[in-house]
Amino acid sequence: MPATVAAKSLTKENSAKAAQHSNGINSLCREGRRRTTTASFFIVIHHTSGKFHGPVIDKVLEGILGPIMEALGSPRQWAVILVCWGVAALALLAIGFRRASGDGAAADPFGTKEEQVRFAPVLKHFPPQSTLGIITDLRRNFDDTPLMEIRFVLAPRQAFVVEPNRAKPEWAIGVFRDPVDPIAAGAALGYEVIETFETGLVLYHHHPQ
Amino acid sequence: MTPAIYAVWVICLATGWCLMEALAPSSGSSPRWIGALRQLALGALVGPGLASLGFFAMILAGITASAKFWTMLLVLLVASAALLLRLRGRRLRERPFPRPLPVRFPGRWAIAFAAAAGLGLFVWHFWVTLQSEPTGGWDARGFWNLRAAYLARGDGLWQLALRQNAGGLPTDPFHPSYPLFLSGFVALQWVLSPGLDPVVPAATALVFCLACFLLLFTSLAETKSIVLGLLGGSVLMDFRILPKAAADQLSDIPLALALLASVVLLDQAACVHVRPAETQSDSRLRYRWIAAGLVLGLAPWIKNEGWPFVLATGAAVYWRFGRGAIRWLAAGAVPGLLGTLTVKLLGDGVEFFIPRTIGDVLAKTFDPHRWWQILVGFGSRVIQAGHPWAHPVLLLAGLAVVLRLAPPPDRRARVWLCAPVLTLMISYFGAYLVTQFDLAWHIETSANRFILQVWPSLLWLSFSMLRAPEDAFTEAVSKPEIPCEVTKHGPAKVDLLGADGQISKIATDIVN
Repeated sequence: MPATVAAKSLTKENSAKAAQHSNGINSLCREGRRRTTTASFFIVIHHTSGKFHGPVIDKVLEGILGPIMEALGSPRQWAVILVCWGVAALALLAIGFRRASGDGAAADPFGTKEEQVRFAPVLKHFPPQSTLGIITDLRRNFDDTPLMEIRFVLAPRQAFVVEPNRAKPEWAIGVFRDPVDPIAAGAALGYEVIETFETGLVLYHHHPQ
Repeated sequence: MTPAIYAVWVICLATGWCLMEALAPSSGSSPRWIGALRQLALGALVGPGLASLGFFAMILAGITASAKFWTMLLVLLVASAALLLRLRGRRLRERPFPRPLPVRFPGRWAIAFAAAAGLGLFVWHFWVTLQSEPTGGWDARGFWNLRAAYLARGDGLWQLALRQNAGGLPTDPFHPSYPLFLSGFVALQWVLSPGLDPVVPAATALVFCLACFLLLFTSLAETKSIVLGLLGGSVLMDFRILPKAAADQLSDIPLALALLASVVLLDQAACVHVRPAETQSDSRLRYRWIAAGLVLGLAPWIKNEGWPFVLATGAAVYWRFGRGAIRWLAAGAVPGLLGTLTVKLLGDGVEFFIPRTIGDVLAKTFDPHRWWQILVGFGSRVIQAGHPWAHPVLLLAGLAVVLRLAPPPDRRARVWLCAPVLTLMISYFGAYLVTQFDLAWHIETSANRFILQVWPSLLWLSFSMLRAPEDAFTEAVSKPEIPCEVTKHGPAKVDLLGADGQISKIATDIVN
């Protein structure tokens, strides 16, 4: 029996069930989203306007509206497509916008490059396995950041701050933030000045007693 | 980058790939290239992890010659390849998991293009950020790369990295109790190449970050769908601090990769564990748990935050899968845990943030102001994790609304994986609660990184709880609510509710 003829005989009650289960029909067809979409569509068409047209109009409607419905798919499918595209596009825009706004690109905030240049003339005298003391006034207010930079620049040489009650390596480097008498600062720890560099660093030597 | 560094990377990636392919092959339900890329992403964690463990063991043994380190790398590669050959020969052909019919998502190419373009922009952002700080961020210079430089000195004075004293002289270390995954692997590359090239830790950080994207994409593509994997990768790249964190050369990104890899492999092992006996063999299941354990054991070898994750995972696996599973999981975790415990035993480290007295702990724990401050701190960091118009959480929520949650059996099968991640987050909260440091400063300097560590795992868990986008086009096959069957003759036979049976007949005719 042709579907169009059969559909005409639907009562209002069972056509409501038809609408209710049109999704069920959709779920039945393994290979055919297109065919089931068309099927659901024609069930609704027949229910709403079956009284007013005959088989010819059915053919016309099927010819015109069928391909459109097949191409469109269901609203949920369109929602899925649009949201997936939207998420991909927004994520891409956000990544690009982040770069364009210069997010997270502060230039050398701790001055590591400057320290590397400053220490280069001193470090060429000491092989990687050497040990160096640091005589400094940088350690203050629990902020070890400047010292950390210096230790990183000196690495892999072992480096530690020389203090009165600590061991004293043979060689030490003086690094001062404030105007300090380097000779007195070294002498207080048992070191004598060997060389003062233009970059402000001081090279000390310690004679073990 | 010298040829030696490229060679180290090739050997380590090949080692990790072979090991993962031997122990935890892909399920066979996705295209082969996705499985191969997944193993590569896992290998980017496992290969360097084993190499750093081997390097540390050799340094402890007083070995400093480059030739012996090359030998160690080659032994690892040959052993992994031999294991792969042995297990591949014996492996049963695995039956793919039931999956919906392969339907091409409309415009999938557009999503793939957006993800690829996003990846390009990400790498560019990383590169530009690196130019401003080529030696990494504060933490990298303060201890990760600093300790790598000490380990690469060439005289085997490993105490410089772990102790308050080395060679009878003070060392003034920062965080001497931190484990040595990143420092050890960077040091290995520095030992095998001339000089301490600053490109080495930068390239290492970038590889770990890319492996994170790749693993999220491929694992979601394998368990769900390619489109969902692409979307997962895009949402991960959208995380605001990620390029800066990668350029800072921190250990948080390798840890994030380890947590994600653990979750992926645990899920895979659990899936095989609960499948019918006729589709699996004991040995294959055992190897999957060992693979998960191997990756899991690397988490505390990367950072101390890995400990709560490991302990919670062990408890969850024991509770859910019993003694057999936990035994093989623990066996896999032995290398990482052994290395970490060695560092703890040899190092002088006591973390400064831990309070000294029980009274102090109790006073801080019951201070409601601290609870509120931590919640606000975490909340504000999450809000700052993305632009308001493209925040990762909003994108995820939008997808969840439209794609809908996966069927309850799927969700129930994975919900236990949330326990280790949640335990890790609770442990962060507890650490903030009792910290000796100024709480505002502690949150300011570390909350972002904590979120970064768990974010890929949380994304994977969230995406795995959703339906695949393709399901909107194939629900016909898997929708269980309407009883139906497809006869061998083709037409669908329908059990509809029509009292007179007409609807069923019409439907059958129309489908015909």
